[in-house]
Amino acid sequence: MIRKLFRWIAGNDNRQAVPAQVGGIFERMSPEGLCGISPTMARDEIRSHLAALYKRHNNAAGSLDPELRREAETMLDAIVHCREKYVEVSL
Amino acid sequence: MSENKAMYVGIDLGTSTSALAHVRADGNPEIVPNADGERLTPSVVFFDRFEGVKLIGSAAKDGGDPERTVRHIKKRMDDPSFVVEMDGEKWTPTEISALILSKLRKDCAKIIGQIEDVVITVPANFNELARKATVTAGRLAGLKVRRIVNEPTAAALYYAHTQSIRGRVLVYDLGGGTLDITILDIEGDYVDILLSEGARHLGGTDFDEILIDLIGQKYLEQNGRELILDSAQRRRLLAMTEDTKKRLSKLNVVSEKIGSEEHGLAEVELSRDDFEEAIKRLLTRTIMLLEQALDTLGLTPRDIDHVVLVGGSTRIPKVQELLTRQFGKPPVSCGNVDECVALGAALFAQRARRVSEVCNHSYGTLAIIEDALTGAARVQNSVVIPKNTPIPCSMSQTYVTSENNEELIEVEITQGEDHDPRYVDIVGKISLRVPPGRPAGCAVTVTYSYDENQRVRAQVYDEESGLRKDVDIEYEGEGVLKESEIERKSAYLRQVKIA
Repeated sequence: MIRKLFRWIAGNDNRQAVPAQVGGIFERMSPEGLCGISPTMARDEIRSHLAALYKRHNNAAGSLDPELRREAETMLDAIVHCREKYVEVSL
Repeated sequence: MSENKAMYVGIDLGTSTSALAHVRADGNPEIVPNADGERLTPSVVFFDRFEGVKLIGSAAKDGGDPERTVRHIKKRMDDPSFVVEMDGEKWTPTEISALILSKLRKDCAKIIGQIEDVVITVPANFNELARKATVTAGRLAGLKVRRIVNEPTAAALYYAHTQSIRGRVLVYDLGGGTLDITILDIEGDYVDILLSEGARHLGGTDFDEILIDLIGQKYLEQNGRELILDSAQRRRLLAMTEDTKKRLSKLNVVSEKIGSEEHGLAEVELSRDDFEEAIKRLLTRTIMLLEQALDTLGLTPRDIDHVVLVGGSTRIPKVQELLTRQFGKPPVSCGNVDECVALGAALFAQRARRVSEVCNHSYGTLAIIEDALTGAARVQNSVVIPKNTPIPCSMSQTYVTSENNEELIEVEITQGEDHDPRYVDIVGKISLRVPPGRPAGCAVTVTYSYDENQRVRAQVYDEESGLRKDVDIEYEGEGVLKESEIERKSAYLRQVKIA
């Protein structure tokens, strides 16, 4: 259903358009808020959601972009917090 | 000194310690001790103030000013902007790693003969920049780096060599700086890597940092005073903390006499439970990576025949307990967990053809992806070579230009598997000028090749004009040596006094 169109991105890198999420928001939001965990989610749903987030941010933790690395570390801490709270009974 | 040339040499350039091994005439690998008589050389460099000597290893680790001591430089190999400034001179992570490799080369050559061709190991999750920096460090140290091999792969090869086993193996490599999880099939001496997943900054040095904070907290509770007042004090405590951590793997409770210049000595008591509680969040990350690795291959813990431990941090009892619980059977040790990577690297130098590896990252390009039904379009990372594809490999993807009169085709080379461009690195660009006056919809093929050293080459081909251009990926930054600098730096490093 998806077809690829190819327009080369000279000076049109949309990464610039994504609002920065590091700093204030990360300090103010709860781990649940950062991870998008709501009280209505089932345990398995939380588990798979956190696994997808973990994959994204674990990869980002090795980014060449130091800002993204810092953001990823914050997110990984939040993911682990939610995992321990909602999925894992105890290590 | 032997006049012979050493054959089949492997080097584990580790975060905490490094080691060199070679394959003996009987076909078995052995560790070659350094000139200090040690099998493992601490990856620590001390910049002497008086004679300009660079001390490497235990002499650097055990004494001297922490301000002039560089540790864990491997953790910076993927940071293009990082440099160490010492006496007005800037040192890149590559150059500092080259000092460690020079020490190993010079010391071990006295025992096994001249060392030129080597295999050097890297964490499976090392990116292209860090791999390239490792090869350059070898060149600066006067070595010919024939191959780069992933640490878990080397360890698995050693395991296969020493144990007569076959089946599906999961290598859990928790070293000084990183966690690598590799799943592979072993059949005799043949190793077929299926997948490698890694986590950066998840290893012994991260446990050490947590332990320092824990000791500081205990000191405050037990003595009513702050222990760690500045970064220099923290660095001084780091060496002691490593030993404390090792004792906590063998004892349930340890006590340390520690203190500061301001407050004098005091005793701090620590339990293994305290330590394990403190590192719990990092251990949870290791379990999540484990689950990710199994999920990617559609495996369950029951599908794994052997779980093999590699890396000094696997000595932590809680790590072994978690793996036992996860797999329903205890993990096995790959011999000496600190040495098996170097031993496996030496074997790899001899029998690389018996090992089938996979690429460690996805490579692709940014492209507009349009939903044919809704017409909604957005720029995404379009993966050309997916992670864990067997290597060497070459894969292509054809796109079309989307605007009329495009004269300059610019391909962004991405590293990463996420579709969202925000979460991938742009590691290069190819610009191809094409004839003017063309309509939108011209086919352009992007090809990536991934060689045995996990090095990437990209090519763009414009089908209408037949024009093509290909590039190796280059990185820029203060911490990255340019090709033109390498020869000069190499000559300079040969003059540096290393002990």
